[in-house]
Amino acid sequence: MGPSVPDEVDEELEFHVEMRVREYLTQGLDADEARREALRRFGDIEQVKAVCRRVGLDREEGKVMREMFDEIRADLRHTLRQLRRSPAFALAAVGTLAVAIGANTAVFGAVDNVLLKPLPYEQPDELATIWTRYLPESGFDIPQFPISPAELLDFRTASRTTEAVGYYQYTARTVMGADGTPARHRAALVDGEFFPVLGMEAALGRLIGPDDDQPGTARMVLSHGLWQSDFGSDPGIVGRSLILDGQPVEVLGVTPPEFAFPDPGVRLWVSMGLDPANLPGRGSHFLVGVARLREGQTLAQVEEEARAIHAGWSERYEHNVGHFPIFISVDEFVVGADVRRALWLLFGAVALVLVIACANVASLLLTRAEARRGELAVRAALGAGRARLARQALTESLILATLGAAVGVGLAAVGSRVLLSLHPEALPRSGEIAIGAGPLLFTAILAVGVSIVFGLVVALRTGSGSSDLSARGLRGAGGRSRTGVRQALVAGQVTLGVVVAVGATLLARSTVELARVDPGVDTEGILAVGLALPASDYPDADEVTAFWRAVVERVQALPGVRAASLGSALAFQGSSTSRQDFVIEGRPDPVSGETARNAERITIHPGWMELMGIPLREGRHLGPEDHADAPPAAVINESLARAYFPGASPLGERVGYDVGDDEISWLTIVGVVADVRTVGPRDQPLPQLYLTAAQSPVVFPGSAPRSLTLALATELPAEAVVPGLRTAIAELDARLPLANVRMLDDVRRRALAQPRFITLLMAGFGVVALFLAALGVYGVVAYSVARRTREIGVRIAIGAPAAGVAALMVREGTLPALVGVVLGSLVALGSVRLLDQLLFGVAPTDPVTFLLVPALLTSIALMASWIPARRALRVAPTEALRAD
Amino acid sequence: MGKGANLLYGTLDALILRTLADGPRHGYGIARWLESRTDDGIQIDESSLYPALYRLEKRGLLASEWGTSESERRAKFYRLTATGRHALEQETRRWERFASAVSRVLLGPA
Repeated sequence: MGPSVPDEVDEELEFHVEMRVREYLTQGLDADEARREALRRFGDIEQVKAVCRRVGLDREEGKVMREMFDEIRADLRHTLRQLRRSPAFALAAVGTLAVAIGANTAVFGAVDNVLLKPLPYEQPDELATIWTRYLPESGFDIPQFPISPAELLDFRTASRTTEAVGYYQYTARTVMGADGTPARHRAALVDGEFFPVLGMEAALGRLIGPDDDQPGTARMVLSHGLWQSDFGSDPGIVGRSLILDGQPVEVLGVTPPEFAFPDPGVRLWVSMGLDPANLPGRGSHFLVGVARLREGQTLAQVEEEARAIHAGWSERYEHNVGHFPIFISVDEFVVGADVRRALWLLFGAVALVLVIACANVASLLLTRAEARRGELAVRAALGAGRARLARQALTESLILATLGAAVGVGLAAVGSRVLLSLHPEALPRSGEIAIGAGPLLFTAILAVGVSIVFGLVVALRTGSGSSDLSARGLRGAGGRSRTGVRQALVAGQVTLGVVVAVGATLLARSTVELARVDPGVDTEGILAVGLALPASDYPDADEVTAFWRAVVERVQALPGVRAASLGSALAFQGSSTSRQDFVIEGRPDPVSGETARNAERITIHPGWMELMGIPLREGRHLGPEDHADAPPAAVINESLARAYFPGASPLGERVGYDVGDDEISWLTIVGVVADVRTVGPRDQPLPQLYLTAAQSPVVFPGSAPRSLTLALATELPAEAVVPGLRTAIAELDARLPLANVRMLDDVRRRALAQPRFITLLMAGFGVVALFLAALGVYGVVAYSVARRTREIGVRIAIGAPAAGVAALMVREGTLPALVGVVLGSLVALGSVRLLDQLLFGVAPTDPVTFLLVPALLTSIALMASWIPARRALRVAPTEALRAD
Repeated sequence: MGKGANLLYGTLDALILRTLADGPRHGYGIARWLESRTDDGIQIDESSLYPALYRLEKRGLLASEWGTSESERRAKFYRLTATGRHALEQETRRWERFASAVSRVLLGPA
């Protein structure tokens, strides 16, 4: 090593002193004096030595560091060269890691943006939405439904736990754009407290406030997106009046870009102008409340208060007791418990995929290490220390992990964008999702962690055996301890693989079941378009009825159109969420204590049922005979019949609506039809009552069905029919826009989009996991058997029968896999509960799945042992002995 | 600090660099050269010479090598590195500016 720094310092300073002594000697001093004088000139020589030693040692350390950096750089170059020489390995390792890390990053990005980032409202944890829960005793078990204005306002007046309460209602409005073309947009009618409760500031102008919500004058606010797309971000929009459904309405301002309440599809907010003196009936539920809780109040406390207030109502009014107000935090409303759970589950699945991927790459690395034992032994013999070899292993792992992470992040970014563009409505707050700092940091940590784990694993194994050239004796390629580790690895991978594969299969089957859900209507080949007649142009109910008749006539005459009709509610669209109380003739009105009768009222044009393919169960469909002068007729659905006329035929019975002034409009039930799902596939169908558009103004004097969906059946594709449709309608009324032209099939698919999207993702990751697991199992088992080629040769050479040897190899190769399968099945059985909410049409303990998956993986393990064993057997014993 | 002019810290560094500009020397040689150049006007404080040399070497301005002295003894020789040469130029220029500024004040018109 050479002389140490302290020794050198001593020698150097001693030299200097000596020279000084010589100087003094020539000047005549004697030896002792000379030395004393020389040392005195130094002052405290020991202290000088100390300082020099310190600086000298520092410098040495620096040199060591520099040398280490040089070594690391050499390692990097060496590793890259090695990787380039075995591209298959590099590709496999980097690819596996890229997929796993990329998946983790993408999912974490989603989790971060959707679940972890706070909502853009002021103190969002104080906000709650107000709905109604219908208990089974009301006849319907509906966990979440709008509330009625009367109940909401009563709550607002009496509540002490809330600071402010507002409300909104979903609707759509036609806006005359800047260039004069009408466009129909989803809108929310809001009251004056809506925006103040949420605590949002306008991006431009101001938002609807308490003074703006007056009956008679309407004011509106545009969404940021609408302002940009339809009005060219014109700042002069504030104060301008836009024609809204034929009426001029002043624009107060524009919302900030991140505001998307109640949902991202709403592009207009219009003041509702509800007159508290003139509210619709208590049974008319169409509002959703928004409340800001007082500081310190919990959701439970507010609900308690609301229930107490509601109990008071049941005493004062005859209104039903089968329901009560519920509060859902805005956070849950926007994101939803379902999505939350699904995302976390997805995260878990993806993490499992990462573990499996790591196991795979680890065995890849170990395999390579074993194969390079010769090379490593030589290097060790040439003087590379264990630390150096370990560092090289670590470098290799780090490079693989970094490359994998880099590619993975790229995959994640591209993948996320692609997936979300296909299904923008699949995830809430999806507009906010991007690969931000959080997920990138997460990936970096993952990559580092993964590489450390690998590096350690490989380093430990390399260090333990490589320097021992002689040990490569007849102990066989796998020493006892090495086989043990490998077997544990196999068992572990198989366990994980089974667990994830079971989950994946269950989810995949759910996806299939979900797609097969019967919406109750035959959606094939049906085109739908929304039409809304402004009251200003069609003030009379007669004009409305005449228009609808004309539209249907004209559209039916179009080429390629088989049939056309109109209706107010469409499958899978969440209806005009208005349910109304009705009474049944001959039955006493419900008093407090009894649940009232409530159904969704759907207005249709004759032919609707047949067009939609809604089967008739009893009686007849509504038809042209149910015109304005005929006795009002109604058709009800099975749910309503079952709930209110159990066991007997409802035909001929009369139901009535309270139309004010103690008057009841009666309708006679003439038919019963099958249920139609107007809400999602998982929800219970609502009780429905149909009446014709012609009779609607008769039953409800003063009202007219001005907003209906036109549906037509056609074999032609949408593009072929729509232009003719536009012309036909323009001929009747040039100013009427066609809203939301779509094929029902698309609608149905979109309604299933969110649950399906997540399920698909899960299933996809599960498949990837299964694939990786299978790959891993195959690789590890095959390799472990292949390594025993020499052992096989030896056994044959000393006379063991070939079949017996083969059997032994297969048995020993498959055994750890079997252990893994059993373990995995047990773990899967135990944890399948977690998937409960995501499954559809498949039981969590589905026997088919639990038989299929273990069988599959076991057979893979068998194959993986059998093939290399056979190959080894065919090799001549002398060859086998030479192998390695 | 001991005997010798009250040198500003850092000036010693510059002097050392200058000493080595003409060729490598050992520590003793540096001390003698400076004494002879300044007619003993500056007596190098030996307790700060070697620490300065070590620090300069650590900073990369000097490099050292063991060799044989004129008196056939083993000694550690120091030489300027390229960085050291550059630093010497800079120090020299800085000293000139400083010295002329002080001169103008002390020796200039009242």
